[in-house]
Amino acid sequence: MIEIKNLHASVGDTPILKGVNLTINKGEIHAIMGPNGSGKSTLAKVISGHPAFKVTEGEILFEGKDLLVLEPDERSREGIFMAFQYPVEIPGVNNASFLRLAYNALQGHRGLPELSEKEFDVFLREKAKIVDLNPDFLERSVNTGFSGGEKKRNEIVQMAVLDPKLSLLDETDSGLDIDALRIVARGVNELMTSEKAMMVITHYQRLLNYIQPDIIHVMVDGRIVKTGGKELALELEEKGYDWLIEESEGNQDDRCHPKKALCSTSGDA
Amino acid sequence: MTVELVDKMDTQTPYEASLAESLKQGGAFQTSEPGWLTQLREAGLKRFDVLGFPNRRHEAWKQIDLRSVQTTAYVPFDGTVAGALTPQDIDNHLIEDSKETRLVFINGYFQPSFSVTTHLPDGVVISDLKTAWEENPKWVRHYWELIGADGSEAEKEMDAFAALNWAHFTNGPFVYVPEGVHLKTPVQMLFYTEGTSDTPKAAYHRGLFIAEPNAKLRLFIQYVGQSNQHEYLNNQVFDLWAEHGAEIHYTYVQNEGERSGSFATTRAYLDTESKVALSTIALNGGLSRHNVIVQLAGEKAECILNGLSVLKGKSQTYNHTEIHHRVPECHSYQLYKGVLDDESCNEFDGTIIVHRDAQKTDSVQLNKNLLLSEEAQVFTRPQLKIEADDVKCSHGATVGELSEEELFYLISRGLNPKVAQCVLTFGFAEEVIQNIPQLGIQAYVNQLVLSNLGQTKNPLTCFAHCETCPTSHSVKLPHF
Repeated sequence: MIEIKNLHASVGDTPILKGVNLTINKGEIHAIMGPNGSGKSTLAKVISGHPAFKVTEGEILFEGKDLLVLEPDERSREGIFMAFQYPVEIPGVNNASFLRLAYNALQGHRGLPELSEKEFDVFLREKAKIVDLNPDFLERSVNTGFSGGEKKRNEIVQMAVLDPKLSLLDETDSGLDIDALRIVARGVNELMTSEKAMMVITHYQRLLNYIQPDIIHVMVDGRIVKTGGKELALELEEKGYDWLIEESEGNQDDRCHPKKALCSTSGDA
Repeated sequence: MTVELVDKMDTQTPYEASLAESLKQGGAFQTSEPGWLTQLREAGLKRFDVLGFPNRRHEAWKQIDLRSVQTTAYVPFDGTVAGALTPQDIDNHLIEDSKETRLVFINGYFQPSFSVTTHLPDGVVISDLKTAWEENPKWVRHYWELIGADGSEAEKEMDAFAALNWAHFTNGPFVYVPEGVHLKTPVQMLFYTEGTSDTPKAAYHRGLFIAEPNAKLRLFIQYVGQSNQHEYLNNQVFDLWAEHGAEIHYTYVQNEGERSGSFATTRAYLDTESKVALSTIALNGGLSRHNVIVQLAGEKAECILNGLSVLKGKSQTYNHTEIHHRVPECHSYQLYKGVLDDESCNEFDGTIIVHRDAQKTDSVQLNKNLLLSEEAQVFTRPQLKIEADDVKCSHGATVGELSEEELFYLISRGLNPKVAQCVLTFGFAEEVIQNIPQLGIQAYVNQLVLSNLGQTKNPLTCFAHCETCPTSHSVKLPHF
């Protein structure tokens, strides 16, 4: 579904992503783990088109098409959704009205009829049940005065409404207690099908007990340094990230270029 | 007292000369009115003579250039109404759900034929102030005394325009709700200024609103100017009195002509456990100033101030607030917002004064401004004066453009960036509007705000096409 090739991205002049390669196929859940500041969130933001980040090298193909030429709203309508790590509070903008605007924009893009206010209300209340979000929150301003847990639930409700092909969950588990984590995870699992894909960013193994990934990647310093199965998460839980950081520092050749041979011929290594 | 003014002829501004001339003819003074009222008028006039028009050396008037007002020879409206207005014209400015409780004033004068006050609960009085002081002079006098607005208050009046108002006010609204009575529909008051005279004219209103213990009352005041070509000035002072446990919701909308001047003072006096919410919405007008002065005089009283200016063209609005916490355990919350386009200008000059005995005060003051044009200007001065030691007070101000993070959040959900900008701009204003406790008034104000945002020089796409746009978002925008 999505192919990321040698992706480099910076904020200002500071490079954050330094050659990410990642392919996620339909029906797969990939987990991205790694220490703070390794570029996990940046990767999600770059895929969703956040204007603060500039892609300096590499490409992203979404369903075979160049994603980087699309504006963020176009990417959303093509089926990419990011659940924010820190959902933004927007006082004065009604949650349900905003979602109806977004939903109808998507329906228009898909050539499907828009929903009236009443129809959407029924539809939205149904979606809110997926994560047990109290319908009162739908009538309040977007995320305003919501607790951390309510904000995260609201993100998953939005995901359910927009029904994306690829979901990027950026630390959706942070700030959730264990009950809320279960509910949110259950909702996410309910939304996953063999036609969809997910990228789940997390610090902790804990979330992965509830959302089971097919593949786990570890990011260190802007690159994926390790890829494995579910057992990798357990290994990380036990050993931390230090051994991977050391390992990656040991492989300076890898860092200068994915193809070692080029590094040595250029004399950089 | 007129002599003193006349003597100063040499240094008089055209406005002062015109006021003096009008007083020579008797001004608003009426032989039929009670002596105590005449005394109040005289005291106000003396006070104005002492104060004179403020200028930029006065801290509270620092940003305002009053020359355009002083150099205009405003003549008081004489009570004539061109009469071309139909009930339909008036109806267009009324909200649906309270058309049966309304007071209409045109060119400063009460219009019984356009006013309706039927189906009132027992004991409720809604009338023009003149009728009130003729029929219940003791009441009017009693409450002016209670709120300190007796002769001494007129003499102490701090604001020159409010002092001037004593001498020149012709009439205004009077609302009295007795103990325990809940007035369910808002009392609408429309102050309409016709655009028919080439001579600059001025109107002076004074209003009194009383909620006895545990009474509830909603007020909706609107100033509407018919014309953008005619010069006129409105000067109004409204006093609100909330007794123990009473609740008053007050919404004031300024929708004046481009060449108007507007000087308003709203004062609220709160007794124990009473609650007053004041929403002041400035949309159109030339130069306007609104003083909102709140006296938290009874313990556990609560006051909410909502201010919104959505300005375009060359409109200038100056919001001056003073919240006096005089006794312990009172709460006050202020949220003032400005959305400024074109060459408009908005000031927030607000002070929370926590007096020595007002322990356990809880007070919040916030002013936020959104600039939509490079030429628009904002002045903001949130201030605290605290004499008590056990209080919780916060204040702050922001001036800026739309937040990049908020924009990205909406866009990342598939909203077109132009739609997202409109949604956020409208949402910025809506945060204030949604605090108005009456849905009918909210919807009405929403429409006015949308219309204003659509009439700026370079309106955002959605606002420009809001009325004709076939997509659902335009229809839905008023509900944001």
